[in-house]
Amino acid sequence: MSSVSLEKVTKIYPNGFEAVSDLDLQIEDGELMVVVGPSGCGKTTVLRMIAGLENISSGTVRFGDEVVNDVPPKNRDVAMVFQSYALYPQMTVAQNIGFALKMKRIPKIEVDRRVREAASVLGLTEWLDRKPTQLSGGQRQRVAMGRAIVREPKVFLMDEPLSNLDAKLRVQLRAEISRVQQRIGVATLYVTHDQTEAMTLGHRVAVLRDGVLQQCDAPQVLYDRPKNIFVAGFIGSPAMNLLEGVLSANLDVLTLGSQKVSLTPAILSRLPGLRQYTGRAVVVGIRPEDLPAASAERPGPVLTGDVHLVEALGAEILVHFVIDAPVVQLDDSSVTKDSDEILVGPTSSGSECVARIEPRHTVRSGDRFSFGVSEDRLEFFDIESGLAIWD
Amino acid sequence: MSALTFKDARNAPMSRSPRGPRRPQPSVQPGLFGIRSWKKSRLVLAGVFGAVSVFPLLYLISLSFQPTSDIQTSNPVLIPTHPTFLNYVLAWSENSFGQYFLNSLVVALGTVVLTVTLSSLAAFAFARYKFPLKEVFFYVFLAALAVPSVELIIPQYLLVLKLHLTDSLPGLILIYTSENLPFAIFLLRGFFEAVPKELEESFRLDGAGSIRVLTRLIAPLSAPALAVVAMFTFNFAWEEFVIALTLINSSAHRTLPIGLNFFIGEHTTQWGPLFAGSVIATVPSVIVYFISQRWFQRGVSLGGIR
Repeated sequence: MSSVSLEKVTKIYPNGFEAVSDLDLQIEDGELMVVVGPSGCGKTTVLRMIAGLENISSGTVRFGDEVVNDVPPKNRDVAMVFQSYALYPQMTVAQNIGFALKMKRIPKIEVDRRVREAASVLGLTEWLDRKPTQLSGGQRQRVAMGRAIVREPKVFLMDEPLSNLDAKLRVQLRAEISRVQQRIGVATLYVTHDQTEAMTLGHRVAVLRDGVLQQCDAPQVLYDRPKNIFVAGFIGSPAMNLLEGVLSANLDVLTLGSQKVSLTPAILSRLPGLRQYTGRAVVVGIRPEDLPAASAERPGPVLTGDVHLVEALGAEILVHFVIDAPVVQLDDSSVTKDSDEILVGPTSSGSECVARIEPRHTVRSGDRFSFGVSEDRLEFFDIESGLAIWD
Repeated sequence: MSALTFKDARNAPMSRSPRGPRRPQPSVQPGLFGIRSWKKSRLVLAGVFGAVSVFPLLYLISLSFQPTSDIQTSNPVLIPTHPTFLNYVLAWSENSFGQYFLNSLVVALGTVVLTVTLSSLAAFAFARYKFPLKEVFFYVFLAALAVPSVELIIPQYLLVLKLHLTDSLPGLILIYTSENLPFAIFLLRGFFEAVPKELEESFRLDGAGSIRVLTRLIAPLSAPALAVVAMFTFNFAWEEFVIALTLINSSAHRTLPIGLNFFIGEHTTQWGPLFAGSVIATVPSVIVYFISQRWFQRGVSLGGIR
C-alpha cells in the first residue's frame, strides 16, 4: 500500500498531440480519487501512465517514495479494471481471478483460498467454474473487480468500469465499488466521464480538460465553489446556468439582459474580489436548485423567463426557460457530457436556463414564469479568463 | 412467403436475443428453383465433389488388399475378390519401410515443433511490437512465398552443405521449416493482432512477461491458427519428395516418400506393396487432421471475447 503522486507529468504522443500537460496530482493511501472530464481530455492517459502502459514524456510518478517512471507494468504491483473488463476468455472465473497470484508463485492452496474469499465478497462463488463468455455484463464486471482486489495491490486503477452496464446495474455496482474500495483501503484512481459517478464515489475529484487539471477537490467543494466556468458547467446535472451580466458601478444591481437583480452589500463580504469588477461584464453562475419559484413569502430579486420545456420528475420539476441575457459561449464544445440533460446553449432569443422547482407548482411550456434568485448562491466568473471571482 | 416465415421461425435458436439483428430474408419462393431445391442441389453438389475426392482413396485402399494378379487385370474391381494382407507384410518388411516411417515421423514432428515455435515468436513480434523496417521484413517473408520451392533447391543444398547437415534429418527439418515459415508467420500475425490489446495489458499488469503473454494468452486464443499451421506443416514434411530426394543419400535417412518410390523399379513396379505402403503413409496425416480439428472447434468457441 502506498500513496501515488504525479509531479509535472506530461504526455506527448509521437504525433505531437499533448494529451496531458504538467499534471500535479496526489492520491493518498486509501483514498479514492476520481478523474473526470469529457472524452479525449486525457484522463485515461493519466491512468495508463500510472499503470506503466504508457510512458511518460516528462515528470515523475511516485508510489510512496519510489519513482516508478521506468518500472515495467508487471513490476508495479498495480491492479486495473478495464472498461471492457479484459477477462481472459480461455480461463474460468476462478482462473481469471487467481491468475495474478499464480504469476506471483503463491502456493495453490493460498490462491484457492483468496479466490474463494474474493468471490464470496463479490457474490461470484457459484460462477467460479464458468468461462467469462457465459456470464452477464454485471457478473463480468464483478470478475474484473475480483481479479483486481484479490491481489492486494499497491494501487488500484479503474477505467470507466461501469460504462458498459445499464443504468440500474451501474447504481448497484457503484455502491459495491465504494464498499470494496473501503475494504481494501488502497490508493485508487477511478476514471469516468460521468460526473454523477465522480460525485458519488470520489473522496476527491480531479476535473481534467484538454490534459490540464482544472480543479481537484472534494465533490461538494467542486459543486459549491467551482474554480472556473468549465468546472461549473461540468459538475452538476442539470448543469449550472451561466449567463452574461453587467455589475453596476456600486455593485447594487446585476443586469441580466433586460432584467435587473438587486444585490446587497453582503455579497462583497462573501466575494471581495467583485470590487474589481464594478461596472464590468461578468459571467454569473446559478445552480438550477437556486432558482425556486418566486412567491410572496420569499421576498427578494426575481428572474422571469419564457418556459419552453417542462420535465416533471416526480420529486421535482425541471423548467427550461429562456431569458434575454447574452449567451455565454464556452470556447469549445467539450462541456458536452454523456447525460441526457439538455445543455446550456444558445437559442435564437437568448440564454436557456434550467430551474429545479418543487412539484406543487403548475408550469406549462409557453408560460412566462418567475423564479426567485438567492443572492448568496450566485457565483461570478471573469468573462475573459473564465476563473471564479472569489477574493 | 408464409411458408418461408414459418421455416425461419422454426430454425431460429431458442436463445436468440430479441435485440439481435434479423437476418435479411431471401425473397425467393420455395419450390423448384427456390430455397428448398437450392438446399437439395447443394447436397447433390457436395455429394459429387465428395465422391470424386474420396473415390481414389477408396480405390487405393481396395487395391492394397488385392494380390498383384488382381491388380494387373483388365477388369478392375472395387471390392477385392481375393482379399489379402500380403501387400502390407511385404511393404513393411522390404526396404526398411519401418525405418523410413520413423524418419518421416521425426522429420515431420521436428518441422512442426520448429515451425510453430519460430513462427509464433516472429508473428508475435510483428503483431505486437514496433521496430524499424517492420513492414519491410514482413514483406520480405511474404515475397518468399512467391518463389517456387524447386528453384531454391540448389541454394538450399549449398546452405545445408556449409552447415555439414547433408544426408541428415536435422538438415531436412531445417529446410522444411524455412519453407513453411513465411506462410505460418503470415497466418499467425493476423490472428495474433486480433487478440485485444487490453487483454495483453491486463496480463502484463497481472505480472506476466512477454513469453507468458505469448504462451498463456495469445497462443491459446489463436489455437485454431496454430492448429492450421501444425497440420499444414506436418503434411508438407510428411509427403515432401523432391527436397528429400536431393538432400538424403543414405538408406538410413530416407523418408517415407523416397522409400515408397523404391517400390517403383526400372523394369517392374511392385504395385501391391506400393499401394499398401501408401495407405500406411496416409494414416498419420489423417490422425493429425482429427487432432487439429478438435482444436479448431475449441478455438472457435472462444470467439466473443467481450
